[in-house]
Amino acid sequence: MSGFRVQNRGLIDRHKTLSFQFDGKSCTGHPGDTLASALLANGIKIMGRSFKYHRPRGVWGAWFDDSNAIFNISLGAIQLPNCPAATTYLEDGMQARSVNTFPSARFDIKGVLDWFSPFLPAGFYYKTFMRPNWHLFEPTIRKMAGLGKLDGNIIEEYQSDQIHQSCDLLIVGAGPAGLAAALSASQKGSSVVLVDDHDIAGGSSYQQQSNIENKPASLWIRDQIAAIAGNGGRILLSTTAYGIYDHNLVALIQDSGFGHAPRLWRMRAKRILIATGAIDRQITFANNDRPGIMSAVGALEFLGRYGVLVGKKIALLSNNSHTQNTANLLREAGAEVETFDTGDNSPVAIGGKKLRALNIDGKSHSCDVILASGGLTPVVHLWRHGGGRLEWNEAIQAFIPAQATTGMRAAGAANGIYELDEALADARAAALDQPSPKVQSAYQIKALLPDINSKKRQWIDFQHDVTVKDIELAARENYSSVEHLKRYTTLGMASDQGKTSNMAGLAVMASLQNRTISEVGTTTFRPPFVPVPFELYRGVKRQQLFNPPKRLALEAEHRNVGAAMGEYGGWLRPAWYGDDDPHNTIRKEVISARTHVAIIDASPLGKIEIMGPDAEKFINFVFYNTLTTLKPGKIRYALMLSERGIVYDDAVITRVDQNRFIISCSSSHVEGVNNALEGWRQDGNDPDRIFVHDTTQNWATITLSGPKAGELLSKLDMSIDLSPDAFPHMTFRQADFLSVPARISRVSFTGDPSYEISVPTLHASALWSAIAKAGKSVQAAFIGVEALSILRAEKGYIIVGKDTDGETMPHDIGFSQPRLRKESAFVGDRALHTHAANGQNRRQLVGLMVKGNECKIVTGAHLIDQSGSKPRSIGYVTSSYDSPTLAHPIALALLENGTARIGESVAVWNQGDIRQATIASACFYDKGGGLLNA
Amino acid sequence: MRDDRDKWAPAIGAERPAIKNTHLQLSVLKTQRQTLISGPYKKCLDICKLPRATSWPQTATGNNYAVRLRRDRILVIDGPSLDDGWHDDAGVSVSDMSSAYILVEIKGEAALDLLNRGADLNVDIASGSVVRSFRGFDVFIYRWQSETQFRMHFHHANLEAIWQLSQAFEKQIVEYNRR
Repeated sequence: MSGFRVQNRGLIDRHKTLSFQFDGKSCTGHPGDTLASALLANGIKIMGRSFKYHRPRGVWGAWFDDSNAIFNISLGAIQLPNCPAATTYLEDGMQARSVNTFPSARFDIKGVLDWFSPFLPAGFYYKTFMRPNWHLFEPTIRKMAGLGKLDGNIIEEYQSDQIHQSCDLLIVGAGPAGLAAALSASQKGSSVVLVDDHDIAGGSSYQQQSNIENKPASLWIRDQIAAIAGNGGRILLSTTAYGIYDHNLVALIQDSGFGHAPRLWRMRAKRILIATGAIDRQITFANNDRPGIMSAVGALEFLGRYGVLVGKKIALLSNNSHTQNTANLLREAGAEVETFDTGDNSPVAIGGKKLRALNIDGKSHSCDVILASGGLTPVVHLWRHGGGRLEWNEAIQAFIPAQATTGMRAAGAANGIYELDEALADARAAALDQPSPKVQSAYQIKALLPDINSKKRQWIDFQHDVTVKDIELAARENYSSVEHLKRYTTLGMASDQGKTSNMAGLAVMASLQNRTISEVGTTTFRPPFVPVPFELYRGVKRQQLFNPPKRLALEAEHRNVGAAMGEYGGWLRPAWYGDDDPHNTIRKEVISARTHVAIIDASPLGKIEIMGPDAEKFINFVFYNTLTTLKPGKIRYALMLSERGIVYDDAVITRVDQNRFIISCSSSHVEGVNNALEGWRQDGNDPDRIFVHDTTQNWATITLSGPKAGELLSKLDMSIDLSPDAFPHMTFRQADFLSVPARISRVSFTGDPSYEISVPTLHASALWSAIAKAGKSVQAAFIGVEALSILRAEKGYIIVGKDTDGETMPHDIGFSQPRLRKESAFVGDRALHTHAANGQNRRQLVGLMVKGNECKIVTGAHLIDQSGSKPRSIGYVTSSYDSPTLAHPIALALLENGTARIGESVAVWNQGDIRQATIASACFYDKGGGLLNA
Repeated sequence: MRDDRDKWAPAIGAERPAIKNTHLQLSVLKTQRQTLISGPYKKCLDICKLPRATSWPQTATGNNYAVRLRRDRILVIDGPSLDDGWHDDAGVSVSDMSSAYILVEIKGEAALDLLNRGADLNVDIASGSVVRSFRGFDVFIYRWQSETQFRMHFHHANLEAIWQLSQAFEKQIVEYNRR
């Protein structure tokens, strides 16, 4: 192929010349060119290599239907990988390199792989590299695979803008049909958004060089645009609809120019009109992948938009009635064109990197380009994204839109209507949601089935080197479903997404199985229709906005006293206080808590209120423990299970009065517990008699814990009798603090006497200050989550999700009674009586101790049984600490049949060594619980 | 032990300067009281003595009003003081949420542009609820006093994140208009 520029054609700005390089070679182009059109104009035909055999590739199409030419492009300090040459507009100074080639697309060392192609059929990898071990081959194969490469530099300010918008009618494609539809709908007052992926509206009209409704195409287009805008319609150019999702949500990517992040539009449309036109179907014949073989529609597009004639001596191979018009347009532009019918026997392309001839029936016809037109094929990908069905149209030999989901229509060529006037009428009807007019199509086409007996290689997927023989192999191995075929051969994967390869592949499978293409069916098209950068989805969600933690109302107060803030369960909380060595600091905090009193910000703990006349029945059903016997003013520890009987969370539940409970669940489970409660509320209950309010963030909670907790609380002057008899463990009081309501719960998750004081968050600072001031006289210390975790582990208080896993049931952690005695139904009940739930070797919570001065066991270390020929994991360490209180390491573990083995020794696989630990009760501190009631 | 104390910029809290440009103003407002009431809709209104709860895209007016969160739940802004808990006579549940929710006002001709960068808002499609997802955060969004003045409530613990998001959106709007 030797493309060249044609005068007086195209939309490019010839007054300005742009310089660029491709694979190190200097070239020129003009504003309005794509890299592909500029390269063709420079006579460059090889723009890439295929993925598998590294065969030379030229462009097949002129826009999104080309997957052969993919470049790494640098412009100044910006480098972007995997840019499609056919859809990337040329900018001055660009340096483009073909991907996955060395040293260039024209001379690629890995092209030798093609010599071995007889030994590398579809499925070769799956069968060959299984033995002895895939991982032996993986590094080399991964190194050879892949397309573009990132340079590792960060592009400053490369940030996608993401916008939600809505409209009455979204029209995809601003060709003649789309423009006509947009004007009709906007005239009726609809809010219309018309999108097109080119930077100029007009669609296929630039190919044909003909009038539209008796006006030159450019004038007609200009008038339509002005009228649409005048009616309030919006036109988004350089914008591709790449996916349609539920409820008519259409994802649009708007190009902002090279090096600038694209914009994401999430467009919610009441109605969607697909006017995406049609592309050429490829023709399957021998050597049909040679550079210089391309689609006829693509050649007209290069001529009409960019003023590039793709060759001087063109062989036009076709099976349809568009051939004559195409040939005439190319001849008018200066090419010598010879037409051939696909019905002729066994076409063969002759040539290597340079195309020399088309052989038909043994006769050679010299050419520098072969245009292959297997028939216009509606672009129906978005239609399928939106849930529309397809039906095979025998007359035009293509799948066309059939039954649609609500609010979706197709019009024009996308609807299989190729005559301009009929397409315009169809589009206008669709825009107004009227029935489509009946169409008498003049378009004629002959069925196109490949020669499956040819001994020469015939390509189906140019990007992945899938040939007819690969499809034969897949069929032989019973991968005959199109979905299996796709995955076995990689047909239609990656950037092609079936645009060019799908129909050809289906035709081969149909021939092999003596079925029709309709019977074979088509694969499911999925978003994105074109490749989109990850940045499109990231947008502002970066750095501190990537999964930001919740912030405590008292954060400033914590920072003022030196808190090291860390992320715990979705909250930013004090890990410890002070700048000294963290281990020593945390140790001191634990000792202070055990000897004096600790001050802990426990605000993230859940405060979910259950209210209503049926609250008691409801909460008794949702929780594992019996709660009907809980009296007002009392608190009870309870577990929440999943329906599978697995421990989902633990909580302390306060009964405020007859019809009101407060669930204080784990900090990180508040949303989950709240959602579960809302869900169960609607299941078999009268929803007007139970209500769930998540009031967690309305209340700040400060916990005082330690032997002097009561003494410190008494200094706050809240007029409460704190004597053990008047305010025993697991009870609740309401009081006033500085004239605002305060709640005080006597509960503990350290093992020492503790009081949780909650006030409305707006008053948290005042409470904190009062406690800090009063705490000085009792040597109170602020402690962070790290010290708290040690205190909990010493007492054997679990952290759900850390000391339990996805198989832990309540009786595994010592809560057996409700399972055996609770009479009323509760969530998870049935699962607790299954065979698995009653197995002998369930992993149960135990403590572990190591000898003398040994260092602690690491969390996650496996407990192993060495009695067999191979060591077997029988559990693992869930928490492990150096206990400052006990002066030796402690650990919690889940161990098979653990509670029956207390006192025994167990081997621990600890970072490559085997150590011995003694199995103990999970509670190491105050086993009798006397301190809690002091 | 990893020390992450410098990973996150200190929280500023509710006392913060407004975001302002010629097309947009975003500021934190103070309320006297925010009360969550659940129950049959009519009963929810009866107990707070309000005629209706604003839904989308209606416009709330005045300083004492309610917004509808779902079929059986409203949030009352600066309404009467009510005891927390179950009100047997009225058949509703009440929780004071004055400390739970931050109230932010967004006004100006670009207000909806900002909100649309975080939430799927369509002023042509009515909704019985003002609850929305704003980039993953649960928020309540409604018009107040005029069609270009919006209010958004959300949990106070998300203030830093939502404010930073809004600042980023405001920059994007400026950039979008510049182009």
